[in-house]
Amino acid sequence: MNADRHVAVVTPWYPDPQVTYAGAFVKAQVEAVAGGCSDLDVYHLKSWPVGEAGAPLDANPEVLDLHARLLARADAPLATAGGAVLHRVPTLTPRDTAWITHSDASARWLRTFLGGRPLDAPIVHAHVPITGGWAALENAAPDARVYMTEHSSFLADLLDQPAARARYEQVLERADGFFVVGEPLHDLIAATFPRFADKLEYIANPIDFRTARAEAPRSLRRWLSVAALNERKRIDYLLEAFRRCRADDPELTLTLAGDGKLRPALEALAADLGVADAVAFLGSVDPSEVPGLMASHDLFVHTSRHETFGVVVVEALAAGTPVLVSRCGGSDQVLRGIESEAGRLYDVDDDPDVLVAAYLELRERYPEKTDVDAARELLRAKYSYETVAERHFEVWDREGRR
Amino acid sequence: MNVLFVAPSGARAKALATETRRAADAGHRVLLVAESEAKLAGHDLDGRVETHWIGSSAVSYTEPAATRFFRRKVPLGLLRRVGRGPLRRRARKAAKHYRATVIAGLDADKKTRTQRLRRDRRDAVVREQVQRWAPDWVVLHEPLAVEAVAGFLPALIAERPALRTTYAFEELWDETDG
Repeated sequence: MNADRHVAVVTPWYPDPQVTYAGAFVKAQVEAVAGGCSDLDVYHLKSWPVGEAGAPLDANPEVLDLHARLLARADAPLATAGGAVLHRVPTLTPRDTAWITHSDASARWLRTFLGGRPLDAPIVHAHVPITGGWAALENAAPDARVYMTEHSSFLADLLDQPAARARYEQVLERADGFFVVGEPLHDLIAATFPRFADKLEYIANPIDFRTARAEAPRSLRRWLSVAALNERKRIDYLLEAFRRCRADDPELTLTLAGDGKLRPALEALAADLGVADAVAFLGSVDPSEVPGLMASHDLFVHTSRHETFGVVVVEALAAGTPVLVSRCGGSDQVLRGIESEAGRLYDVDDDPDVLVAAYLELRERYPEKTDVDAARELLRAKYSYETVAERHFEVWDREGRR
Repeated sequence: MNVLFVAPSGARAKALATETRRAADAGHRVLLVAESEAKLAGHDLDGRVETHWIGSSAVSYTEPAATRFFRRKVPLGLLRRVGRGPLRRRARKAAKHYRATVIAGLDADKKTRTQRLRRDRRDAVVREQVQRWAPDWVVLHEPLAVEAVAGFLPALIAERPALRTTYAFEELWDETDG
């Protein structure tokens, strides 16, 4: 461990026993950098909505008083990745969609948890600037350096709220370093706050490259999707395209890892399309199971309308599995320059034949005219734990030397 | 130790199953107070975990018979009867308006009162179980748990300062090599 780096991570997202995949990339960051830090404390500001819908947070002072007392006496440091220490800080929030109230609540409850003292770390790295970032800025020691990474897929909606937008600008101004995980976020923030465009830098989510499949898939028949079952991921589109491809090749199968409110409707759709026997709904899977899943399928298929980064695409290639991916923002950036080696990108379009045509084209040239191993090595150089950790250290140490 | 998990809604059922098992594995006597067994279905609760179900969903506000008769049945029945004659359209319009205003108001009031009754039941059952069990450790497992104990936990902590309170039962850092 490096004796100079004492770091606090502040995040609203972190895996817990209920949702083991939420914020898995934050945990991956912690695991990646922990070995290079003398101390690493993670503050998980998980939102706990209380009260009646629409009522202000202060509507029931009895509950707030109790929570404040309990936070002060409930610190039970937990073990997490890389030997780091995890503090769960339940963050009582009102049941509303105003980001400013959630931002305020994050700072308030972290302050309460810390007993009014500042975070005991000269380096603070926050995730999700509107909540984690604001809480970090408001609770860092005066001479601490505060960095933050934006991952949010909801950023455009957030910036439509005037108060949240003003808060976001403050955060941008005060942060010592501001990072985004992909081009869509960079472009949105730069367009909204042009005076801070030069402040934005890229930092990747770390991906585990330690396990790869023993041998490349022979054919592209076992499809896999790892995605939440929500509208943005367009699984209905995937099912229809899969049906059309399967009409041509009855041996095709599709595994859907992920869960969501649309699951009953999608299961019904699979039945209606006559492909229920070829489609497996796995539900949500633990992040540790993902590399194995990737390695046991022939083709990773991604149909998302919009992504800020595209973790799963890199995970697929890290396992040595070719990909068939929509041009949804983050994935374009990830696969730039290695599209044909890695598999195939296709345009986001409502017509399932776009995906069908992309699959047929890829099937035609696979494996001779692809080079998944080369794509994998290129991505490893950008996104491995070691690379991403070095990037963090470079940023943290660079500022320290100034 | 006696470890009491308070999880009125059971909204975090998967975590509840994991954490109660962890507590039992650690040698504690574990009691869970939650809404109902059905809420935890499919999450394989450990057999060593003792349970007490709140059952607040069985409680609902019963409207007084006079309200039901004079404000629901009679006006709508009257309008139905009028609607059989030449004033059919007007009666139908009036009935629609009556449903949207008076009946909707009655329904909203019934819902509010039912929620209040259920909340009272929840808080009473949780309080009763905390008193009955005299736990050494209380795990407030979800936001509703904080709301449920707000009325009595401060006094209990003042009385028993050694009472441990946490929001989860996960692997502690000092239990590892860290």
